[in-house]
Amino acid sequence: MTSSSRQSILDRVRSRSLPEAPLPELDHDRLIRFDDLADAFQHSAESVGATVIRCRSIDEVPEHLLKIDSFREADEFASTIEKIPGNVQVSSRTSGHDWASLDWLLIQSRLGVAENGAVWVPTQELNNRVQVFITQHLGVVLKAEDLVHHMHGAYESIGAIERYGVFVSGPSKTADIEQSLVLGAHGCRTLTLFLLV
Amino acid sequence: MDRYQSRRKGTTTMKSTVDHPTAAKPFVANQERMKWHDGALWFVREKRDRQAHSIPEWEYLRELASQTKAHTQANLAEYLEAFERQATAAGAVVHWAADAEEHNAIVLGLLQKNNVQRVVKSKSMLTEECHLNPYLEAQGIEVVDTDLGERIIQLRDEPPSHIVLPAIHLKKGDVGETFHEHLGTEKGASDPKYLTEAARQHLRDRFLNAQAGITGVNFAIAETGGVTVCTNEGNADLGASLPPLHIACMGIEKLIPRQADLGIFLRLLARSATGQPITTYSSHFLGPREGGQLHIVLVDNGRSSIRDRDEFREALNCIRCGACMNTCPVYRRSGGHSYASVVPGPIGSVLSPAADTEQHKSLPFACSLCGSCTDVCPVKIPLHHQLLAWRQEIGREGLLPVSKRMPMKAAAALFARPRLFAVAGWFGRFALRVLPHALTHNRLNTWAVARELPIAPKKSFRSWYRDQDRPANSLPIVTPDPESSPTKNR
Repeated sequence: MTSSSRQSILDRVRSRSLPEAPLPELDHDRLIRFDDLADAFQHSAESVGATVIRCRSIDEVPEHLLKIDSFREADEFASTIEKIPGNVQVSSRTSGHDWASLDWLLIQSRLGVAENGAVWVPTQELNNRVQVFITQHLGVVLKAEDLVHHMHGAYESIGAIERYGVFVSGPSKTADIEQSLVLGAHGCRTLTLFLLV
Repeated sequence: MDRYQSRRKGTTTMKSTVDHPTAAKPFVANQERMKWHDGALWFVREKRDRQAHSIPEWEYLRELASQTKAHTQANLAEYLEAFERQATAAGAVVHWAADAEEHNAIVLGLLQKNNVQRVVKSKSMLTEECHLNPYLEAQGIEVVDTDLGERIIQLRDEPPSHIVLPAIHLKKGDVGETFHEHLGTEKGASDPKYLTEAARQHLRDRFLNAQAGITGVNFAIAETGGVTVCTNEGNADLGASLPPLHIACMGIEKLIPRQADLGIFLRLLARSATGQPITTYSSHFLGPREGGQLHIVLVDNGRSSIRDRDEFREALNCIRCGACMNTCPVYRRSGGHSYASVVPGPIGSVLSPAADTEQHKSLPFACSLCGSCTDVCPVKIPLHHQLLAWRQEIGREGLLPVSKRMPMKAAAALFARPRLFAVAGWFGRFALRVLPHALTHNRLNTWAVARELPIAPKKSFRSWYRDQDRPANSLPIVTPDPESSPTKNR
């Protein structure tokens, strides 16, 4: 049944040929450029509800973490950053459901986008891709040198995706009840970005 | 109203012809709520404007998006085949459905094969279009809509009234009541934060217990075989990451050629939809996760016949941002349910008559031809031109009601005879002065509801013009170029 529909859809589409329309090539000179990428990124990220903390190196991150209430109160803290280990046994968690009680997750991103405050999180940066959505609070460490101006630059930098990747811009949110913005819909309630400048 | 309440009962209730002004009556009757609705959507429109103006290349991006879609349409068969090839190579299974019925059967088959009884579904206008929920529920499968707005209306057994803001017709008090009844929240509680938290807890449980996740698709990439899904809540992502089975359903028009083209569309989508620079989550799926399955269902359901038609083809460029609804003066004041179709507003008024002209023939007239929808559309669909084209088409097919057909005929006859027109003008000025108000303003004349007739001028424009002092040199006469006339289709 499906294979005959496949043929009939393709035949139907082919039966009506349209005038050729060239695929446009992007003119980079016409795209926005920011004077200061770190400033632009911070501004964008804060406008979508993220907290940005500037650090000189990764060694400063733990002391900042300890100043965050939700972090101090967290029972389960997972980290994929070697220098700042979490308190959960990763090897014992084989399915996504095992991560349901996760309170805090700290990960690394190697790409941030100045125009919209998004960070790129490919599956390789995680133990299990569900972590990034199921955790109550998310922290992301990002180097300022890994910032790009806009999404076109982002896709140039990403190249081929291996199985899965997600742009995260701010904490999970909804405005479905009377257009009131509420942070923490289904995903993380807060997003903290540690920007290494 | 009864057709809205029977959302779960399937497609048969969608057949009767619905007259937009009649369907809008209950909504318009509540002036206060209508004003709130109007203002809430205009607020979203203003946020959209701020985001659009924040990037200088906005118009350039719209142009790129429109050209990319035109190119994809012209090479659709090749891109569909390439997508299938690449997605399959990445480990996904691609299915093809000619219509809604086949789409539903494919999804049901996959669920049954995997012994699935509990499904979580993120927002997908395609599955609404196919009436997937009632179909699966009739087979004993529980389907939980996980987008907060969708969950609210699912609990209330209503259809969405907007494609991005499905519960925009409701006030927080309504949601509070619904949650009190279904989720056991406190009676009278209407704080959005409290209600959202209750939904979070309730749905977390559903996510963890689901055996399959169904999502829509925002963009499918021919070059890689990947699909991209955008949400603010993270619901599609949880639903596609926890259960072992992920079914992604998409119309064949969702295709774009290259991964890099996502740069154009993701910059336009959320800015146009809600005035955000990008959605919170933009998930890129390439094949199934380890140990899981990914099935992608490609659906035609009338899209290839819209593609056949020069005057309506560009409607397939639509990326479902909803900007045309937010800006539409008719939508904002009549509410999404008055359109009685899955996609309301200007784009819905173009797409719905293509699916069933007789049933949706009143929709292209629910429009003042102001053109605001065309101005905000991120992919440059000439929406108001298409709505005008539908009016002509509906006239040609003889589907206009007598109340529109006869006056049109009379007007055509009048405009073709200048003398008769002059006489009619004289009679009109006379009538405006002497006719009693009750003769024009009664329940037989719906036009006169909330409208007054103009005060009659003393003389006609022609005689006024004759009496003016002429300039020494007559002004140049400018005749409009028929090619650039706004009523002409591109």
